[in-house]
Amino acid sequence: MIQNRVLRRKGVSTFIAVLLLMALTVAAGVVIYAYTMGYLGGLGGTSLPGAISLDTANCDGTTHNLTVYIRNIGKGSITIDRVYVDGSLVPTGNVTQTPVPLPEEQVAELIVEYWSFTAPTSYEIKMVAKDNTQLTFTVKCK
Amino acid sequence: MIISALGTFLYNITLTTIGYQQNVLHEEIRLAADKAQERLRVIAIWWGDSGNILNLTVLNYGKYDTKIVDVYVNNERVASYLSGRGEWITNLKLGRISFVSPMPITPETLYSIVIISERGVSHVYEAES
Repeated sequence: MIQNRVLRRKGVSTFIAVLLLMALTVAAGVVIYAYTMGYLGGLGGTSLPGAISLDTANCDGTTHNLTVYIRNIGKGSITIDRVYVDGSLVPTGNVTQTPVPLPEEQVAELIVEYWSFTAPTSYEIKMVAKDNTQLTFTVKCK
Repeated sequence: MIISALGTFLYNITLTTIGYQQNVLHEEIRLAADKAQERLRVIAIWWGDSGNILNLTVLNYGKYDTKIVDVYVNNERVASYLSGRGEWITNLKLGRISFVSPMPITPETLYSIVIISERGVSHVYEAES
């Protein structure tokens, strides 16, 4: 008697089952999307890189010093991380930035000591900030 | 389910990366375009009667209003301004800026004066005292 009752119970049809599975998958996908949007939104970098411009640069071939004034015209503070002279990296200890970091709309003075600065040669200077903001210019030593 | 999750993950990463790159490019183009359309010309330079005071009259003939935020004389940054610094110069109008030269002004000497606008555009002029 009981066995017959169990056998007579009907489940959902195959069509409904497929529909339910699809709906569950879509719902799960939406939930995962919402989570990943929240958690991973910042991974690609939400802040734009900064922008720096050159005010003036003066290279002294006698003292082997390059004095550069740079201006932060972008968003966020800037700290110069690396300086290249004709593609060669200048040792970190030979670069002095004042102030550190450089706030928005402000000017920083950079002094780069490099033994190869001699007059009257032109050098290509490349400055790279910690947020990968870059500035490239050419200066002629006097 | 796993494929759906992976697809969502990749879609999100791609969307974020592309959006970020587009924003960077858009910002760089806007900045370069603004700079390119800025035009300033020093139409008069005169030396003050007392000390090392310099007065510049500047014409803004560019598309946008601008302001002078810094001046350099022979690569020395001016530290003391009397007037005009950071004041708006509307387009097709004259502006004036007065400052104390960071170095002594001697007669019949050539000086290089660099004025910097707020967009970071440098304008270089040679002036003889």
